[in-house]
Amino acid sequence: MKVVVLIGMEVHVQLRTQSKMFCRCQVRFGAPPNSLVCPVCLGLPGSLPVPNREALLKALTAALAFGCTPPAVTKFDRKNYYYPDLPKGYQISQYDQPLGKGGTLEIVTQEGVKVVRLRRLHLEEDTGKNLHDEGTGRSRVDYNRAGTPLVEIVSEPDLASPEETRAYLTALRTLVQYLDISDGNMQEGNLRCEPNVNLHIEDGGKLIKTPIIEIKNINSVRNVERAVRYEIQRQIEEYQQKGAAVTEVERATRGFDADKGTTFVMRQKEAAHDYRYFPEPDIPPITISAAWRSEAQARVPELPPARRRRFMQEHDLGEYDADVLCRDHHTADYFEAVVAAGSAPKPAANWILTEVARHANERETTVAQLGLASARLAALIDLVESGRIARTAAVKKILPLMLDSGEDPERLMTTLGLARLDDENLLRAAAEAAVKNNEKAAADYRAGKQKALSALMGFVMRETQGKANPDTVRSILEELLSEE
Amino acid sequence: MPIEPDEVRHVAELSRLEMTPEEADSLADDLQKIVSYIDRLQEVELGPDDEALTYFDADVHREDRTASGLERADALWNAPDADGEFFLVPKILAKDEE
Repeated sequence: MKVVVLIGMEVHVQLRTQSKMFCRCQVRFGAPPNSLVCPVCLGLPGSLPVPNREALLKALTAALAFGCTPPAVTKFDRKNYYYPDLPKGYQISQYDQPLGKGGTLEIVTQEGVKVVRLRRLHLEEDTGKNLHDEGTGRSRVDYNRAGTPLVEIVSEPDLASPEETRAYLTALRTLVQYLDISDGNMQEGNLRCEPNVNLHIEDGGKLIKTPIIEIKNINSVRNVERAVRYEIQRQIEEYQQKGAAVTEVERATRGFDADKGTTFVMRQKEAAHDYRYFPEPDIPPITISAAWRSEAQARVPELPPARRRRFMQEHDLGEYDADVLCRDHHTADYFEAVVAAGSAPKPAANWILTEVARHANERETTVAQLGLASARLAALIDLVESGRIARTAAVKKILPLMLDSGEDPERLMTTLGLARLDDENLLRAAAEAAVKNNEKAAADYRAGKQKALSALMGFVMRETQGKANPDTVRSILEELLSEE
Repeated sequence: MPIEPDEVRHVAELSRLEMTPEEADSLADDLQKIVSYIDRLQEVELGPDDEALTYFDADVHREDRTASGLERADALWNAPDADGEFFLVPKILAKDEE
């Protein structure tokens, strides 16, 4: 039995605009319920939608950044379905002339780089929010979110594993943050994703295609990986139980239960996918002029893949490290600032991705917002690289103090007496003491056991509270032991 | 294109409209007449340049500026049911966010 996994992604990104897509109500998360509404977004009779130019431009910027082909003329269509969070009974969306067709997104996993093809990118309006109360027999509806501009990006089923799906979502979030078109915050719902998972199973000369399952209710990058991993396994088991009968259903929707880590069947009306799209008669088609295109193009900065490659070339970083640095453009900026302040790039990347990142995580913030001046970090890295302080002392003692006080690392090192001992006489005395107190180790070394030197090194390090410069100590010891 | 009563019932269901079988039959007849009438437009002969006429030249969009909308009390005023903060609707069983 040979199994090929096919995963496509549908991602919704809320655009960061002042006002809604088709009316001038403010877009804001967390406002009192139904306080940001008007006749247009409530769908009251006689109201007319007028597209937000900034939302069109931001969506066009995204289309260009993904390498989509924008049409000469774009238009809006009505997608009809009934649900209480949709006040008009239809969603204004785009059907056959979306803002972008084609395009790609580059993802990086431990296995390397992969180019994922995109199917389309279109602009639409968000729905309101239903709150389901247990036991009351009613649902509460808040329309503040209704009409928020939303870009939907649909990929081809090019993803082949849970890891790739996660990498896709991360890469997409990174890109929208670089473009500065959205906060891309999954917890606040600025970014929502629905993976479509199915398998092509080759078994006994037959090809069986399992139903395409769309997974909903995923609220974090980690959970997209969990949900997809579970769903692949579930489909394999379902095939093993039912055999070719699994193909009786073509598509289905399942929800993700984050507590259990499983997916469950969602009830769906048979006719739910009959959306009866037709052109939105209230909004004339919109010409994508050359001027608009160049205005949007001018907003596209150096994108993550290009920046990653530049980091690899200019700074000799590995692909994975370069990718992790570039995932958050503030972190990438910070890295460049530390390098500009005089640090060697490799240790800078290493410090940022390990020690500094750990403090950022502990304080639930980001590297860039930690308040650690780039010049100060560069100075600390330089102290370590030039051998003036032990790395352990720099990591455990100096860095935490720098974060608390903002003090200069060299000054902290002097005040705390952490500078490396490089005083030849002092270290020679300690080395002599080591040889005298460890006759066996000394004899072993002379007899050719290289390893025995570490016992003598350890003695000197203990005597100097770990401050001795190990290179100096080693050469003194080697000299002493070869003399006699 | 003939319109069958089945199609009328299907669209009625999607639109949450209730109707008797007699009403569906009669609506199918009415809709058939309307569609046939509109089909007459197909008889107009169009040249290649006439295509452009289907598009307005009026690109309508606005600057991204906010304006205050309705007071909440006014927004909820006509709702069949509300609790002062939210619109209230009959409980939805299958949560299926589109």
